Amino acid sequence: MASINAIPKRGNVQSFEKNLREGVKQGLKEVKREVRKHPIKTAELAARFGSGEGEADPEAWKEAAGMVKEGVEDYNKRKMAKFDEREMRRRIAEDIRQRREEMKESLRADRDNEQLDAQRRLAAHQRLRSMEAEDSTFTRFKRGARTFGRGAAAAGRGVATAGRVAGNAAEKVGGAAMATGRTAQNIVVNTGEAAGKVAAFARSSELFFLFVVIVHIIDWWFLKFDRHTNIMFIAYTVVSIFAYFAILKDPNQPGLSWRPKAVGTVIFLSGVAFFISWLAGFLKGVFPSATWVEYFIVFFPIWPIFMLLANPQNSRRLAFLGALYIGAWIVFLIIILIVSMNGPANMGLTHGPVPMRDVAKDLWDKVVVSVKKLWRGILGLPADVMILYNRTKYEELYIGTVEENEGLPLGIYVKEFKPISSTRFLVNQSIYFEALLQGATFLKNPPILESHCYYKAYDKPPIYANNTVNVTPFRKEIKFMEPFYVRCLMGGSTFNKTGPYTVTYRGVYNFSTWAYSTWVFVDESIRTSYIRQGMDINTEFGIPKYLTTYFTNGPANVGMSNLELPISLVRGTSGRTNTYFSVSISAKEPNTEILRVNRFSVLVPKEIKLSDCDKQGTVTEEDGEYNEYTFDLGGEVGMYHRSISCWLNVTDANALLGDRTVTYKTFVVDAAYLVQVERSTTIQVDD
Amino acid sequence: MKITHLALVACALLLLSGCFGTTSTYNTNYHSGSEGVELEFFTNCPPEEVYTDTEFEVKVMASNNGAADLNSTEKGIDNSVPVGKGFLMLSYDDYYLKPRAGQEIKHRLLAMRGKSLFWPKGEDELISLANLTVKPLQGQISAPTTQILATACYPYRTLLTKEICVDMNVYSQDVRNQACTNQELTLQDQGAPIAVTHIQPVFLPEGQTHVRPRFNIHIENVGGGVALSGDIENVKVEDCIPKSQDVLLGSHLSVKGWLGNKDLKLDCLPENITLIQNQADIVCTTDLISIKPNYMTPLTIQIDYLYSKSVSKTIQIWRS
Repeated sequence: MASINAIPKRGNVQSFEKNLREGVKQGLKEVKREVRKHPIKTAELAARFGSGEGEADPEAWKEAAGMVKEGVEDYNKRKMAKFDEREMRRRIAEDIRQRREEMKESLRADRDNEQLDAQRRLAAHQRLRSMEAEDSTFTRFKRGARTFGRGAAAAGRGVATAGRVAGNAAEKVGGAAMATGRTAQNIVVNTGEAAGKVAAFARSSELFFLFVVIVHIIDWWFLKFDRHTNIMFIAYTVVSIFAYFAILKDPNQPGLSWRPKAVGTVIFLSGVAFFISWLAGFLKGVFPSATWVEYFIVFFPIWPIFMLLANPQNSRRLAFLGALYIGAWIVFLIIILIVSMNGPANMGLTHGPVPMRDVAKDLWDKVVVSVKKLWRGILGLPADVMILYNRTKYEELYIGTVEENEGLPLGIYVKEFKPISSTRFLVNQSIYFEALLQGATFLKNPPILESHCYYKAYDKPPIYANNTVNVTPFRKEIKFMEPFYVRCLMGGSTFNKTGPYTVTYRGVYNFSTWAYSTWVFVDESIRTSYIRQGMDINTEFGIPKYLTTYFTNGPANVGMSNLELPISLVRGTSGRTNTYFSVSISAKEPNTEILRVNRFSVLVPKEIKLSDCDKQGTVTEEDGEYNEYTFDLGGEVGMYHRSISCWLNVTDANALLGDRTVTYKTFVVDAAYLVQVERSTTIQVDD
Repeated sequence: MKITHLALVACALLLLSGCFGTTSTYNTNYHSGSEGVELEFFTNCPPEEVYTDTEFEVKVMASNNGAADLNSTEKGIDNSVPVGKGFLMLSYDDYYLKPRAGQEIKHRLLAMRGKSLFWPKGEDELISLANLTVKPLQGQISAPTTQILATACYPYRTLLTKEICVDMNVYSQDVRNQACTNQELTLQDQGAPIAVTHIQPVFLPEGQTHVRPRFNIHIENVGGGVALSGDIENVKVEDCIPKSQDVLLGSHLSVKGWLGNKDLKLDCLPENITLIQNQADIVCTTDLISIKPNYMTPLTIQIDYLYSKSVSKTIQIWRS
C-alpha cells in the first residue's frame, strides 16, 4: 500500500518551488561547509571511492580534496544554472502529477485486490476518492492558511529529494560528498521546513493586512465610525487576536509574543483604531472648522499603515504597497501644491503678499490674551470655587426631569447666527449679521425678546451694534413656534484692521418655567400595616419609589426634593412633619444664563404650610385650594443654582388624607426670570 | 341512487358530529382559588390620554372570584353574622382633575355573589365610579401625568371543611386495625384571599380515658391585598382606613371552627390574629373526647376579615 504522507499536494506549487530552491541553496552550503570542515576525510573517501583502493598517499589525498572542492564548486554552478524558473516549475508540476498518478494507480490496485483485507481496501478506496476530489476541486486560494503548514511539510519533503539529488551529485565527485550529501539532506529538510514556515508566516501577515483593510472599510463605509454598537469593539478584539498570531508569533523571533512592548503595541494600535471616532470628536472640538478631520480618519487607518510601513515580516508585497501608499501621498500633495499655486489665480482668487508682521503681531496678541485669561482664571478660581462650594453646601441642587413635551422647544432658541451679504469682508466694511430664532410658550403674556449684537476684544468694552437703528427688530414679541430673523448691522469702524473677529448675538427675554411633582400621602398605619404584612405598598398602590419633579422645557432646570414615597402621616395630628421641602433653579443650557429671577412661587396644597424657610417669602392664598409662597431669591443665578428649603407642616392630617387610602397632592413651582442666550460667529477681515 | 346515498351519509355525519362537540366544564369545587373581589379598569375608562377641559368616565369591572357572597343573608357557622357589603373608593389628584359639575364622588357599594352552583364563575359588575373633568393646565405645564386609584374594601369569609382522622390510638396500644390514622393536611387555598394552608392535628391524651384534640393551623394571605379588621356585617368606610389600633394589635381576623357536626367547638388562640409577613399561626383546641376507635370526621374552619385591594392607572394629560 502506498504511503499517504508522501502524497505531494498540487495546491502548493509555488511555495514548494520556492522552498525547494531555498532548501537546495542551504543544502549545498552545508555540503561545502562539510567539505571544508573535513577535507582530509572527504578526500580520503573520495579517493577510495574514485580509485577503489584502500590506500593513498597524503599528496593524493590533498589532490583529491582539491578535486572535491572543485567538483562541488562546479556542481554548484551547473546546478544553480539549471534552476531556471519556468523549467523548475514545469518539472516540479510534472513530478507532482506523475507521483500523484502513480499513487492513484497504486491505490486503485489496492482497492481492486481481492486478496487484501476489507479494511485496507476501504482505506485505499477512500484515499483514492479523496485524491480524485482534490484533483477535481483544485484551487490554491481556497485552501488559505491551512495549506501553509502542509506547504512547509511538502517543501521539506521536496528539499529532502533535492538533498538526495545533491547527494547523488556528490557521489559522482567523491564518496565524501555522498556522506556530506546525506548530512546536508537532513539539514536542508529542516531548513526547508523553516523556510516554509517563514513563507507561510509572511503570507499570514499579508492576510492580516487584507483583514485590517476590510475592517477599516466596513468601519468607514458602513458604520461611519459609529461606536454606539459593540460591532467594532468585537472587530478590533478579533484584529488584536489575529495580530497576535500574525505578527507576534514570528518563528524568526521566538519570545516576541511575550514581550510587553510588542503586545502593548498591538493593544495600542487596536485601541487607537477603536477610539478613532472620539479622537475625531476631540479634533473637531479643538478645530471646529476643520474639514480635514474626516479625511484624516479615513485615509490614515492606523493598522493598515502600521502593516505597510513597519512591515514586521518584510513581506515584499506589503513593502511594495507601503511604497505605493507613500508615493500616492507624495503625488497627491504635489498635485495639491500645483493646484493651490495656480488654482486661485485661475479662479480669480488673487491675493496680495501676506503681511507677515501683522500675522506675527496677531499671534502675539492672542498669546498675551490667552495668558492673561489663564492668569485671571487662576486668580479667580478660588473665588469661583468658594461660591460654588457655598452654594452647594447651603443650597443643595435638585434636578428635575423635563416633562413629556421635551420635543417642544419652549423658550427662545438661536438656531443659527452668521454674516450675510458677502463671503469676504474687508477692513472698515459694515457687515450684516443674521440670527434665526424660534420660540414657543404657553404663557398668556408672551415673552419679549430684546436683541443685541456685539464684538468684544479682550480687556476692552464690547462694541455694540446701534440697538435702535441697526438691530431689527430690537424688541420682538414671541409667537408660538414662529421662526423669525434678527438682523444686526455692525459698523465699519468695528472692523478696522485685518484678522479674525468673533461677533456675538445676545438675546435677553423674560420667561418662566413651571415645575410640578405629585406627592403621595398615606396614613402611617396603612404603611406600617403593609410593612408588617411583608407587602410593598408602592407595588400595591402603584406609587413610584421616589418623588420625581417634572419641569417644562426651556432654558431653566427646576427640581424639588428627592424624597421616598409615600409620605406617611398620623391621622389626627398636625404641625411640622419630618419632611423637608426643597426646590432649586439653575440654567439648563451651557450658553444660557439666568440673569435675574423675577418671581419664584411655590404652590402647596392648603392643608400644608411651609415654615422656617432659608429665604424670605410671603404667603398668599390662592383659590382656596392652594397656598402660594413667593420667595425673593435675590441676585443673579448665573452659572450656579439657587435653592430654597423649608420645613413641611401639615395643618390637619385628617383633612389631607381624607377618606382615601392614598392621597395625591401636587406641588407646583412657577419661576419667572430674565434669561440671556448667546450665539457667536467668527469672520475673517482682510485688506 | 348515488345522490340519495350521499345525502344519507352527509346527514349521518351531520348528526354524528353533534356527539363530538367540545363540552365546557366548570370546577365544581367553588372553594378553590386565591382571589376575592378583583378590580380592573374598564377599557378606556379612564383613557390613556386625556385633554384639558374634557370629561371622562372612570369605570371599574369588579369580579367576585371567591366563594363568599357579599351582602349575603346566609349566616355562617355557629350562627355567625352574614357577610355584608363592601366599598369601592376612588382616589385622584385634585390639582388636575375634578368631578363633573354638580356631581359628588361617592363610594360605591359592592354586593356581589361569589362562586356557587348558580354562579359558577362568581358575579361581575361594571361600576361607574365618577365622571371626572380635566382642569386647565396652569402656566407652562403642558403634558403632566396623573394617577387614578380604585380601591375595593370588602368583608370576606374563608370557609374550609376537610375530613380529618380523630386518632385516639396515640400510643398504638390498641392493636386492632384502625379506620384511619392521624395525618397532617397541606392545603393551597379555599376560594378566598386568606387561606388555611396547613393543619397539624395533635391528639393529646388526658388520663386513661380521654384525648384533647389540638390543631396547629397555618394561615396565609394569598390574595395580594391587605387584610383589615372590622365588623364584616356592617362595614363602614372608616373601617377601610386602618386605624392605629391595627398597628398595635394587628388586623382582627376572626377564626371559628368545629370538629364534627357542630358538636365540638374550637377555641383558638390568639384571638386577634396578626398577619406577619403575610402569614400567621394559630392553635385551636376542643373539649375532651373519650377514647374510642379512630374515626373520620369533618373539621370546619371559618375566618372572617375585611380585605382591601387596589388597582391604579396613570393617565397622560395634554393641552387641548
